[in-house]
Amino acid sequence: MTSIKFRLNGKDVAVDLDPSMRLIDVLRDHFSLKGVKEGCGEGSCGACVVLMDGYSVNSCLLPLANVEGHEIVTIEGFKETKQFDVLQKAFAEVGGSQCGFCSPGMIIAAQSLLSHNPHPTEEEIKAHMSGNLCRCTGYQAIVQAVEIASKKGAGLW
Amino acid sequence: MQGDAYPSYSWGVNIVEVSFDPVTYQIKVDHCWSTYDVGRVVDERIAVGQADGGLLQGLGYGYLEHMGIKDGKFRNRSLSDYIIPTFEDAPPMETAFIDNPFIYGANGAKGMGELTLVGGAPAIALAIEQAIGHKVNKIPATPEYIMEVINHDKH
Ligand code: FES
Ligand code: FES
Repeated sequence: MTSIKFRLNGKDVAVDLDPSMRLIDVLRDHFSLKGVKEGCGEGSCGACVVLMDGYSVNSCLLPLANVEGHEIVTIEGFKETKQFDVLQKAFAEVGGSQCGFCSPGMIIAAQSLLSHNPHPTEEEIKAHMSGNLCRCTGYQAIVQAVEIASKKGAGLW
Repeated sequence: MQGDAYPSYSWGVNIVEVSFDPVTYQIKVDHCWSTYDVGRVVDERIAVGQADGGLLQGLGYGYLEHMGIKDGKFRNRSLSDYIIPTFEDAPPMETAFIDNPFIYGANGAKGMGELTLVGGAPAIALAIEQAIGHKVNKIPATPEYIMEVINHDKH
């Protein structure tokens, strides 16, 4: 089997696994990165999003082969950053997380938004995050959290 | 029969404003206002989260979330055919609590969990009824159902 090489949370990794495996399974089962959640397994919920070269992608839809040579960051890697710190505090401040199942995906989606658009409008936040479902919060608190992070973290993104 | 079997009911009111597209029969939730008496609110941030999340679930139950059953099996197999509200569907929600300490509750509190889910579906069904001028006798009031009601005036 050919080994597939990519960067994962800042480290170079190489895996000898079936290249058609879903990235989510590689991350959760092979690397024990359990912050990547599986809500639907078919691209509907966003619980599994990770950053690929800075953009959020659904890891349940991505075959391992497609990450060859790319940079993947999961919530475990992202949590070491200043941007995470700002987002986490903003989520906590307004109650943007309840059961928490959607939260890793929400935080990654927010990072992908803010890194490309540091001061999004409410509409832009909703449009960008609409691939991430949440059953608990009613979304309003998450929108507020992203707005707060965008203000308090001004200059970081 | 004596005594009060349900001494600690909580109470709430939900107001829902919708607009209706007469071409696609689609409903958009424009705004919601809610107020609840849950005794004394212990942690307002958590309580508002519970209230808004519960309300949005109730709204979804009232106009989006159709669960079909055929031969004893669910017909919906995934989140692609069991549609729940997304960011784009969530309306602005204004939520207030009436501070009314309950003498038998810890720190004056009563329960608030399911309560916030209860009002959304009937409130949106009634709002749709008012918007389309026809009776809505079923939830979820999906575009297909609304089209039937308007075109055949069954009710
Ligand atoms: S698990 Fe990947 S989008 Fe739901
Ligand atoms: S907090 Fe429970 S799904 Fe979002």
